Amino acid sequence: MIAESINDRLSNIEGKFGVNYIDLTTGQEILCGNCTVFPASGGVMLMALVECFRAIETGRLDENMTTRFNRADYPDAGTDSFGVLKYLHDGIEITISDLCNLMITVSDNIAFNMLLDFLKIDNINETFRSLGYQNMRVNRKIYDFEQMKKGVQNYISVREMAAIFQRMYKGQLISEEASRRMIQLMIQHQRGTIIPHVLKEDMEVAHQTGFDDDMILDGGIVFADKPFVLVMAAADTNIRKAESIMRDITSICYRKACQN
Amino acid sequence: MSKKNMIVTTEDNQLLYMGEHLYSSVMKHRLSRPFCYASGKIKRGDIFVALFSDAARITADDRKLLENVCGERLSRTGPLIVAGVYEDDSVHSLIKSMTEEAAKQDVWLETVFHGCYLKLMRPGEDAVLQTDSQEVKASLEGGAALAILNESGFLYFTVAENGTEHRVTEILTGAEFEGFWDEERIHAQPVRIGDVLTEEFVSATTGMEEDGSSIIRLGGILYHVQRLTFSSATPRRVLWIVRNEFDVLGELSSHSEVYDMITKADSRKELSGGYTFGLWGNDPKINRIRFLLQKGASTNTTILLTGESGTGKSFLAREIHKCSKREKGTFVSVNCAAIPYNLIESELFGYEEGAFTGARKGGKAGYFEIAEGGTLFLDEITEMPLSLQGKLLEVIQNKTYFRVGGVKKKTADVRIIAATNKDLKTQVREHKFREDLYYRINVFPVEIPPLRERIDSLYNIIADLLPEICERLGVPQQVISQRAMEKMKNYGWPGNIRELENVIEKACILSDGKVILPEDVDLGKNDGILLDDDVRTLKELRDDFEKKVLEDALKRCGGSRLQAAARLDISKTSLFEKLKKYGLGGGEKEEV
Repeated sequence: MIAESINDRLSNIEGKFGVNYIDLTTGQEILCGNCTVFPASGGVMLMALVECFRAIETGRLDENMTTRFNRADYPDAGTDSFGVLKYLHDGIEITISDLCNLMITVSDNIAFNMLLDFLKIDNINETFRSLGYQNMRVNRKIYDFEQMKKGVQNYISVREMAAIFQRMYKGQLISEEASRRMIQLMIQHQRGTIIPHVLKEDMEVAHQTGFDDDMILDGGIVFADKPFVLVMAAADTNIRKAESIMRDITSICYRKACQN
Repeated sequence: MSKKNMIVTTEDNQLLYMGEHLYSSVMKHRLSRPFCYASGKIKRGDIFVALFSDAARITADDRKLLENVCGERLSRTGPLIVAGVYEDDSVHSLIKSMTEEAAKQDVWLETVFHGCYLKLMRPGEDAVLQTDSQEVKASLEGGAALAILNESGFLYFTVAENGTEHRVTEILTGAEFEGFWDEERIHAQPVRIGDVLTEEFVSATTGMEEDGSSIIRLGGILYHVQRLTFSSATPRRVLWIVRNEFDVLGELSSHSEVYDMITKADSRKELSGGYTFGLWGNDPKINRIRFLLQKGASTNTTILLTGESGTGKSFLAREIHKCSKREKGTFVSVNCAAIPYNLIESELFGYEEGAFTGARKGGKAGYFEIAEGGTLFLDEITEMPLSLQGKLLEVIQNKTYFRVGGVKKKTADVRIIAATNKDLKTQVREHKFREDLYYRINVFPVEIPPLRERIDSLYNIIADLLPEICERLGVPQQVISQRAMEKMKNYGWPGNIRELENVIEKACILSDGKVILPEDVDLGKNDGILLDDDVRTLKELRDDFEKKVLEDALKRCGGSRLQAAARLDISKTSLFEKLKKYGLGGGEKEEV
């Protein structure tokens, strides 16, 4: 019934829309919409987060190691993009753990770009291939204008993101401890205009959003009495309208989680 | 009592009036389906749902308007559902055209639109449109139906009659819609309670006594229903006052706040000297202490506070400081028992550079120096080493002292407040405390009574403590139930105010609602047993208990020893012996 309800709401949507719902108590999975692979926008930060925890876990990276933010190295520091690092003074010292926190809690684009310098694009893609995810791909930094001109894009898959969240919930992504820490961090994500918007204020949601001129994304774990994963993305459509639909779809899934 | 919580009916349950609060509660908790709507106009943000049994029959005007609103062309065949938000283009409209196969299903649509749950069923000839709390039903023979709703529920619902034009375009372009009533349910007959409220309400209240009350559960919420009859009215009218648990708690809470204000205003009287002591309670003993402190605080005299552990001596010392002329000076509190024996001198009087190994460069100021111009509170004064008591006497008497290792006399302008829970006279007798120091600090003794001796003030004390504790814990303001108060009154409170604070704090945490119930009050295993800090034998404790029982029995029997003996089920001779043993013989009434 939930699939029909979601499809009813999506009935006459223009552009691309993808929804993946997983009931974490039964494993029931529902995929709706007309697309699953989307430009990544902020969704790519989930990939960096996973790789970062993997590097920390394997000892390749020390989360307490400090690095320095040199404004000149990051031309996007002057752009109107998400985050707070660009407002801090040039040369500020910051730990890897801080970068992770900024990247997830406030979707800090510079924090992501700085982390990418440590993690390396190839390593991230390799990790995701080895985990079995073929469609998620990092190809450039956020706001890498040169690459953008060439049409190089980052991609996320609604289906693969949902699977990652499911694995994380089960404590099977990297390790139980790493999964728990990633969830705890994503619960602190501060952009709550889509999934958390229709839920009770004290309902915990571990999620990551992505916004761009022509795409919108929100996906995560809703810790309802019957917890579920919900990942939604839309592109080439009216973003404001897509946002209102996503809120309604969250309500549909939450109602389902409250039944029985 | 607010009219919002009232229902007025005739004796045969004909509904005459329903308060606004109840009406919204009825709607919110799905206790009714709407039976009538007022006339009005669609407003910005209202949701509209248009339903057509066959898209081929949509008028040109309606089609043009809906396509304009939705920004999409509508199907020309089969059943069609269109939902949108009036004058809000940020919400994506919902258009569902039904295939022949889909139209055979009972459920035509089930989704959430703009935060509103919508379910459209077509089980037979009639179409049923449901939201979370309501449903409307109508035949679609006329070909179309239009519903307008917002977060409060349905505002309007109409169907086109056979052979007449329906008004989708008119309504969606701002024309006024007419009022509506459900013919089936009203039939131009008077509305009865059962038409509006559920069977549960009617069956739970049927047979309720005149001027009686009852607790019923509707939609998972408990309601207190009171039935009052106006016998003077003809025909007789019945007034139902219906309050749910939240209403009652809200009233309790607001009343308790007023009560707190009254008791505080009474217990914290402005004293003649212009000082206000924040003392807990309003019993004669505390009033006497207030009077004493009013006199003592304004002078520079040394004050000795005595009383059992936990009675609030430290709190009182701070209050004395606040109400003294030295309030702008520093208040230094020193627990003499908490400072290592060999450090106490240097801590109190400070030391000079090089006074001893490890002495800090440049020396260090002692508590007397820090409290200069202010107040020094010496708690547990009896723990002061005998060897140092002479130096303390010197500083109290002559206002001068030497730092450790110092050669220069320093003056001390400090007001001293000392406190102990021990009997200082006994300490002097046992040569544990210097007699001359005793007389020097015992200039203005104030004894704070234990909590058990002012149990009648318990409510006032709790009324003072409770709001502060709730605020500190970050929980909603609580009130204490009568039964919980009785339980606390019957306890001995060996730990005094400190224990009371802990018990209330725990009760606030355990309490599920806004009222502290007896089961929230955890008095531990010492319930009713008075254990002092001093080690006492079982015999002593037993005798103490027996004495209290006898005192209580005599009090309850108005001093009659015969009645007391009967009540305790012991012989008169035995009672007399015991009264003699405990010195309780005097003052009783003569027996007949």
